[in-house]
Amino acid sequence: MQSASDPKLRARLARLELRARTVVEGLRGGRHRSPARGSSSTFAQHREYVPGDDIRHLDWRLMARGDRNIIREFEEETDLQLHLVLDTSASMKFGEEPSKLEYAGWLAASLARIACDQRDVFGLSLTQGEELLRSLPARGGEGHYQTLLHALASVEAQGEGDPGRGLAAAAMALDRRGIVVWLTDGLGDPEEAANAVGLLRHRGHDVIVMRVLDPAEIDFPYQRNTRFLGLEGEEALRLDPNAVRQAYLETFEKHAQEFRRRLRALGCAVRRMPSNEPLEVGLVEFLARRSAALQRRGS
Amino acid sequence: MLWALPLVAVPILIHLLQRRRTQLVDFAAMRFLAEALRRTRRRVLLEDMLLLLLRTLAVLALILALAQPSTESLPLALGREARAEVLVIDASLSMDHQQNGNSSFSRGQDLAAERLNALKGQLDDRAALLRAGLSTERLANGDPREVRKALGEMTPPRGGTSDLGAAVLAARQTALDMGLPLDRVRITLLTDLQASQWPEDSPARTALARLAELGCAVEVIDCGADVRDNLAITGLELNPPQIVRGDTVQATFRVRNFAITPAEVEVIVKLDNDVVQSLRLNLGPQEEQEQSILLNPVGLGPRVLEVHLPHDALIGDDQRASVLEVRDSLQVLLVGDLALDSSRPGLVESLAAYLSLGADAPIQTENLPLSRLDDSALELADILILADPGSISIAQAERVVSFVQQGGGLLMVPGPNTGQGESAALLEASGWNALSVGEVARPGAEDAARLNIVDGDMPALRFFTDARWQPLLTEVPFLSYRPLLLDPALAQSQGLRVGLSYLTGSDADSGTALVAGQLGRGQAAWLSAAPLPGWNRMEEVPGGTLPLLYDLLFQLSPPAAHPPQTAFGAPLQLALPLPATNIDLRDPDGMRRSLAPEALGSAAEKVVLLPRANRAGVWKMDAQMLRPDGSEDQRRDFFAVVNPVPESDLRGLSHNLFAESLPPSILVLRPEDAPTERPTSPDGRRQLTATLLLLMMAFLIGETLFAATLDRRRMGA
Repeated sequence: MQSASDPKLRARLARLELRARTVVEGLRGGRHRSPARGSSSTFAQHREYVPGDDIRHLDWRLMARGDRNIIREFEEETDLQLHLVLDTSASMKFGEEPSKLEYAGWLAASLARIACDQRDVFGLSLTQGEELLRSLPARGGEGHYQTLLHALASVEAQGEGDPGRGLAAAAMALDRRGIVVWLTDGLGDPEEAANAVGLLRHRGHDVIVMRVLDPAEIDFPYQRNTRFLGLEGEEALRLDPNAVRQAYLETFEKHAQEFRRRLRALGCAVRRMPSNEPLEVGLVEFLARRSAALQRRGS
Repeated sequence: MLWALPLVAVPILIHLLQRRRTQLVDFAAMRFLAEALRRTRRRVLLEDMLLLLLRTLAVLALILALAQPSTESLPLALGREARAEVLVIDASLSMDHQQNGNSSFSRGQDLAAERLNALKGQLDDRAALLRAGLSTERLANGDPREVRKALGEMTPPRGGTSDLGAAVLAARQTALDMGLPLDRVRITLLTDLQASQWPEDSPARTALARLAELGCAVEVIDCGADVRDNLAITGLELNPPQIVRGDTVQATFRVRNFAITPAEVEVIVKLDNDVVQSLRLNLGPQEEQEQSILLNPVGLGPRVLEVHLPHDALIGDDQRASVLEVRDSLQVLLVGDLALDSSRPGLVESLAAYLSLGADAPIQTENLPLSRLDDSALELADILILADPGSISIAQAERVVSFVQQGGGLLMVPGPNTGQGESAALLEASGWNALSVGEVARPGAEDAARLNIVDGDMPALRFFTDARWQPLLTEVPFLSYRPLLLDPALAQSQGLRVGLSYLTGSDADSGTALVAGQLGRGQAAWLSAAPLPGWNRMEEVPGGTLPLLYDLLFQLSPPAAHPPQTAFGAPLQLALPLPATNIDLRDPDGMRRSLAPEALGSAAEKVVLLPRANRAGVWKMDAQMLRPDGSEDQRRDFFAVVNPVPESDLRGLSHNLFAESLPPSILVLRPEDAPTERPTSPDGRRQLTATLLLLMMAFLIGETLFAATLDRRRMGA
């Protein structure tokens, strides 16, 4: 099991550059790229090129001396406010080793670690159903990071309701623009999710949705006759999984497409995060794709 | 193997158990699951049902194949060939034997119904129902539904035996007439296998054995009871069958226990439906007891005497009846001239004195000279005594013979004035040329003669065969006698019986003294030793029994109008003096019966009222007849007594021995062993089994392909 404080994970995550898609106003100036392009950057270290890195940061001189592709990394230039909104509704309880909530918690801790290491400020909102359960205002530093970890470790999945409304409740408490990462299973109404994301976008936030799903929800691997018990008070269903698999998967995918289509239409990035994928694979791939997109936009 | 049929429920049970064996899973994406279920519910249900059906059919086909069924059990849809059942039900009296509330007949009906129910008219199945009685009736033939209806309307046998040989032949012909291949025809004989009906080499056995040649299935089903107990009244006689008022009649009946265990039985004797005696008998196994009772009927006319056993397993043979004729008195017309010398009474005087017993006596006598003997004088007489009448003209002789032929009695006493010449006309009219009258012997002598009884069975002489009373008859004085001369060879052919002979003291003079015989419906007797008044020594006989002449007159008295007995199944007939315009015929149950067509409009000695007497007991008749002058006459009578046929011994044949005496293809079975289905040839059975196995394979393959398709679609998803 991976942990957010795993050194290996931290080292890999720390190599990624978290860049906002939109211009973010930093609380501590000079650490992040400002909206005015051409600001100076501080060289930090060299490392091996990995697919997805911005090729503009390749160190051509070093590459000419050897056969390796070396990329130059820079310290962030501006402060970034990262706000994590974690859906802790009862449906997030689903899944074993890890549950969706556990997996989402690791993701949140990983993202917070990155932010902390880059001296960004980071905050956390915990929603349960349609309500905002707890909110940690965005701050920086190791102490705040520990507080966040404590909050993540102590929360339990419960409560019923559409997570989109929970996100909307959290959005109301965010007063400064930044990157909002919504960690949810997104099983609610796509329209509610779109409303909440639309609200965030309206306030200038860059929104990333990490949709945490259990593989059983994606593949529906059940074979025997099963009595399915809903986690949020739904009526129990007894059925032959084989008989309904096709229809379930169609319905599920149709919903996912609708969810993705609506959010992307609002300029929101949506990433499906199956809970059986290695944590770093998901983060790296996601952050790399985000970085590439920002690069394209920045160029 | 068909006991395994419930195993077809196994796939259903597995299906249901699988439905019950579910795992519990907490699940988050319930809204998609609910939607998926809503979309697929109907299709999945149909697919599951189809799968279940295929599995069930496969199991069913396997079980049926293992059971190796006959083609007869195939449903119509599978194209079973048309077949036929010829059912013969034994309707003899013994089939009415009851055990546990069921008769052998009803068991036969039930089995016949089972066989008919297995037939289907729409597939051209055919059936025939034959009732084996005295003659064989084909009750229905053709459509099984019609035959079932006829079977339901069959009434239990009430009496009579059955001609099973004729029934088997009729069944054979019916099978041939069916128009189907004979291997599709089954002949079933439903009987109680009563041993008395199937003697060795009997026509019935021969006919049954020949059925095997036809090639059709033949089954003999023994529908008889396991315990064949039976009691029966085997005989009833009245002695005498007719009496005059005040006389006593002796009724003798026999009761037999046909069971192999002892039985206690109650016997009830009724006279005109009134119980006159009830007695209880203990009978050993197979024992027959004879009982006699004495009756003094008060009422006049025909009286019905019945003896019956209540509460027996076979009631048809538990009753016997007889009709007793009770007359007021005998009207005797004494014809002859009185003696000229009153001091020496002649025969007329002697006989008149002998028969003068008072106004209440059972014999009333009227004296008439021969010259006044005419039809009107005879009309009221029961018996005519010709006492030394002298010369009898031909007309008188014919009148007298006609009187006797219609049932009257004649006593001819030839005396000194009536010799061969005087009697010739009467003898000739009677047709008794074996008899002639000799010359008067010792006329006028009063001497003692000794009479010998030649035929003790003659009713008039039976009393005197007792040694105590013999002297009353044999040591008597006589007035005169003429010897009766008899040609022995002719006498026998003309039915003449010699009752008495006489011997004089010297033994030198002897001859026949009493000759009697039948003339038409009546009887005539010639008595040559005319009695003197001194013969009537009633005071010497305890109980008042009258001697010879009295008994002789009763022997000659007209017979009852009804025949003493009619055999079961024989025609019911009677003598009607005038043509009948209407006859109300009632059977022993009181039911009105239709008459034979020839019964009305004819007058004859034997008018057939019914071709066949098919009920045991006393039959009654009320006839309106037409006189020549156009006026009506009426006659009411108990005219026939029909006794049950000897069907009481219910012992059955050994199945094994009986079957061994028949061709092997003929089966002898108990109803519980008799299959409703027809036996199938091994080839047919193998073919059907193979077909069922193929079907099973087809169902299994279908199930596998369908299940694979479903799995591919569902799992592939």
